[in-house]
Amino acid sequence: MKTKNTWLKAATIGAALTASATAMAGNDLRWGMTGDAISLDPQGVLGAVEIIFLRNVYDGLMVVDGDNQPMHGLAESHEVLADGTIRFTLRKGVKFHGGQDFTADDVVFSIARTQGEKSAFKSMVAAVDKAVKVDDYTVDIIMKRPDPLILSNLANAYIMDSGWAAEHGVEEAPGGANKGLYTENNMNGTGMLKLVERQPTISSTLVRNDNFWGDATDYYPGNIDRVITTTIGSASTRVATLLSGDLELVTEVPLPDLGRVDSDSNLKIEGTAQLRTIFFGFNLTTDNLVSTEGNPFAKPEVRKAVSVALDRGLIQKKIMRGVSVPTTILAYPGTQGHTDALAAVEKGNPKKAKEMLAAAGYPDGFSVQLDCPNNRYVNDESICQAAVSMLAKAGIKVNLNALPKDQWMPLLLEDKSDFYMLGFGTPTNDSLFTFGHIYNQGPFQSGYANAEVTALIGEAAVEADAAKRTVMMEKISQITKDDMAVVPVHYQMINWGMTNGLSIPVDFSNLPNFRYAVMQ
Amino acid sequence: MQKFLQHNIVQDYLRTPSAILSSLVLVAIIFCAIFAGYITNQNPFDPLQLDLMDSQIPPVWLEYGDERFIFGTDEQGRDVLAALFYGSRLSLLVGLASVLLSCFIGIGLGLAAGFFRGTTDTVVTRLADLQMTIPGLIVALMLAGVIKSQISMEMQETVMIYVVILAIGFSDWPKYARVTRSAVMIESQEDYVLAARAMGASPWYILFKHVLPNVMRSNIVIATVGLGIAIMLEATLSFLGAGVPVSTPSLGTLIRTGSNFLFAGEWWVVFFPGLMLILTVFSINILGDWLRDAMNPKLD
Amino acid sequence: MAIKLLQRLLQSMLVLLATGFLAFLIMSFAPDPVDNIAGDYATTEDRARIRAELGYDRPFLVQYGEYMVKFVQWDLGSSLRTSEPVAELIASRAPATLELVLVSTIMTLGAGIWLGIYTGVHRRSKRTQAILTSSLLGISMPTFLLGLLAIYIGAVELGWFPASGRKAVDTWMWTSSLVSLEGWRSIFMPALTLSIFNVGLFIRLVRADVLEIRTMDYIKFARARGLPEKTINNKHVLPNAIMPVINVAALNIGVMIAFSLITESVFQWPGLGLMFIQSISFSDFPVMSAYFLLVAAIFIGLNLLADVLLSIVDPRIRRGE
Repeated sequence: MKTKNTWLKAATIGAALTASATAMAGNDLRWGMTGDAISLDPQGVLGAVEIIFLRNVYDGLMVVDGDNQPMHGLAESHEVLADGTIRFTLRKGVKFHGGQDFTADDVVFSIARTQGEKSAFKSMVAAVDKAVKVDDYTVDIIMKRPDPLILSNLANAYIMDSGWAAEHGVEEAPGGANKGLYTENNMNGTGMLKLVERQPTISSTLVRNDNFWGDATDYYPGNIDRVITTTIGSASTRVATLLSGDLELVTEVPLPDLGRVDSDSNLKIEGTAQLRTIFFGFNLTTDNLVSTEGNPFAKPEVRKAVSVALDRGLIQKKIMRGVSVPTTILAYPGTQGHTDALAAVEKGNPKKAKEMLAAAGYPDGFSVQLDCPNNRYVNDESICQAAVSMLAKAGIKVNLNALPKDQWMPLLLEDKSDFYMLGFGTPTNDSLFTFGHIYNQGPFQSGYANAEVTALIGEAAVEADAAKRTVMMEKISQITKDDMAVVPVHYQMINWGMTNGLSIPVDFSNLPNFRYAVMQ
Repeated sequence: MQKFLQHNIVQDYLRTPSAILSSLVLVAIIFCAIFAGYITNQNPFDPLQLDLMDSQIPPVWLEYGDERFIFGTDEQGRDVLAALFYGSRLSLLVGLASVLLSCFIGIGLGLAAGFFRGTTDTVVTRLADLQMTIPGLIVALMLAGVIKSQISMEMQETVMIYVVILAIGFSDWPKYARVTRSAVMIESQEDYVLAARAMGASPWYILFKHVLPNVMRSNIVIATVGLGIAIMLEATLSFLGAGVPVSTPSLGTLIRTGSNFLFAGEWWVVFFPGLMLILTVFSINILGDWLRDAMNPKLD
Repeated sequence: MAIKLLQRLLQSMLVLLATGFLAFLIMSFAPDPVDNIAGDYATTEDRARIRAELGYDRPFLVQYGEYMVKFVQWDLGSSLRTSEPVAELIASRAPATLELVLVSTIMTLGAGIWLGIYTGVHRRSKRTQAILTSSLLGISMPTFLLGLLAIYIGAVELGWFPASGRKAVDTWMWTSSLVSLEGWRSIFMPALTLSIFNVGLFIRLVRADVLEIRTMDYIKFARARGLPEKTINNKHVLPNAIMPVINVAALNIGVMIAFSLITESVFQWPGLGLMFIQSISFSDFPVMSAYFLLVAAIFIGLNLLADVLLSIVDPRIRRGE
């Protein structure tokens, strides 16, 4: 649409003038998101959107910096004692948004709340025995076992005021379910932003906390005065709203729209690789699948044939429009366990796949159902459709079962899916979390059992020596690739659309960190 | 049926260019829908025939167009023209079937209510009241959403079409019932019916021989308009994601998936299905408009 | 007459109860919302615990009984998605939908009556043909397509209106988008989209009324008395043609409230319809059933009102004939 009529242009400028005349004072960042946070309780729901809210309003003993690395937060400093206990010295003079003083009691209370049975964040402090108050501004974190990632994890253990919690009867986390708990729609943290208005599923307004404890250089280099979040479920409407100048930031720009957003003179696209691997998984827990005879996937040759049949490069080029990184392993780029050699992909070869299937005892192929989400990952359903077409050419007839997230996930959790797509990310900036969940334990485990892998996962969990741990992690990648325990497709990329005047660090976590956002 | 033709509907038709044009368009659309398998060079819903290499091709008259795909292809390499024909087949099928269902229930109940009166009448009227309390769209949304979540994909491909037909069909029957009921009440007071009754003809004979042909007239008009509404309702349901599955898309599903490419410059993926939908419903409505005037010459 | 009305009221209540039963029956087949609530990384035990806490592990009839008992006590429960009491949620979302329907109704009536009378009076002019054809095109355009078109043209290409959302200001009664320029900009495109279909419908309705009135004896008398056409149209045709239209428009409000869900979902207009669509995808049972019953109640109420008005106007019905 480069050839607009002049009168249209004039009209557009006129409209832009009226729009800017009504714009609000200060630096407002209006952020369009796909779905609103389900709960704002600091230990309520462990999800991406929830964490964005939580980590901007609440702080932990540690917080994350612009590169998503841990730095001291509500703790001024820490030292590791001889027995592994970590002694934190707390910042003095910090106040909650509600005016309450921050003390060691709040830390002890919040760590216990995070460990509680109903806490969604208990995995973050699984290695912690308990928090003990030494004096008003000193707390000991006593460990059950060593945890090399404890400082990162503590950035996800948000501190709330113990008195405020008692006042509103929210001493315990809600346990996921929304039951009218005060903390689900109200927040009282120490963070850089405070919640002033909230309409769940529609919008929230967060304003700058003038009494923020952190200094500008390290903790608050940004200049945002107000963050307004708006839920816009429909992808095309979300992009339209960005294009029409009513948003400053959209964190999930659909791939087909990247070009359009980037070519807009007021907007830009910034992206990076994400810690999320998209892969196809198999149900290996049974000898008899539901949608086919026996369990062809029990044979590693069949799983490898699936991998050979997929043309990952073509999916990247056509479906992902070049915006993904094809891979054959789960371990994320930049984490231990990943090397470019391990992740290298080959061109799809349906002929070879067909021969491999024949050699494995399926000369005529077989038919099976693929359960695929249609609103969970970037282009999830399109990737599945492309895979169906590619597998068909190798002789595997796939019935595509594309479902919304909430209907697809139970199939996986209850081992009712024979063949599925899943994308797995990590909240810890480390691939072990994913290895554990996919190869070893956790609700998404699909029955893959390899004693060596299990042993390696156990060892890597407690190995503090980085070099040694890297060797272990790479070994896990190698074994699982040889086995094709799951068939990885690619790493997702993150693409944020934003106005030219905005700069905000885009990192692998896909979580905007408003403290570092600068607007011109 | 003699009375039906009495107004010389054929002559009227030949005198109305808009009616001729719209019916020709409809015949063409129906032809393409029925014979989609023979006039397209691709079955867009057979994964074996799709090739990612052929994806995102613009219409043939644009740069990079490919003459194999007149209206271009979508992200999966599906021929938009072929998808259009296969999609209209489904839209028309759902529309026709649900209108027939509404007619069948509505006219049946209306006849019974008007002819037998008394308790039958009360029951039918109350049922219609109940049905009218909730718009079909909402019932269909809930029903389709719930059923969709409960059955497997393989079943969905066959079952969802019936669910949508049922949901739309059931929501519209009171219209036919009301018109039929009042028409029957008026007709049964006409001399010829009274005479037949006096001659000892059975009520069923009178009903089918005399009353039914006469109530059909108003029902045909309602059904024509109803067909347009049913097709739109199906498209709306599919657009909201509660309709037929993506593997066998209707026009509404094509528009829903296509709308994701609205800003990508790949406008043809959503433009042609949208145009087809409007063209179909518009033609039906022009025809219905003409029918109403032709059968009810009192006005205008 | 009082007895007759009471009877009618009782019938309406029964219909409402039946609708409620229907709603619950449909929902009993929906997937339970536990996986939505629990989040991505919850364990199987977490899920089982939440399911038990919410009572979704109990038999259908027990759940239904409890629902009905609570419903009779006007306890609509809390949303599983937002934790808000459903009654409050509805109260906070209703203004958006009502304002949308109000503005849309005014647009519909304005355009519908004006164009309807024009086409009724100038029966055979070229312009009439064009208006009638456009009105037919209007009722052939699916609302969601119109909405997409409006967003593409009005927001993206021209940039005159926001593509989505509602700009509203707190007033003494509710948050309104009718008291600020920003608000009007945000409501214009959704209201227009919602109107198009109805405008087409109303043009035809008004036109039919006008045509019928012009064949009436008193118009013929007026014409015979030599009154100018303009006076006849303004004094006699117009008032008589408008009354039935207002009546239909009032009844149509129920339909518009229900069908606004399409417009609301395209424009992300935070009203009742969007609330319903969101609740379906989250399996938010309490909200789904409340919306279902609310729409039924509005329809029943409007019909009841129409009946009462009709019985006041028509003495035969008043006497119970």
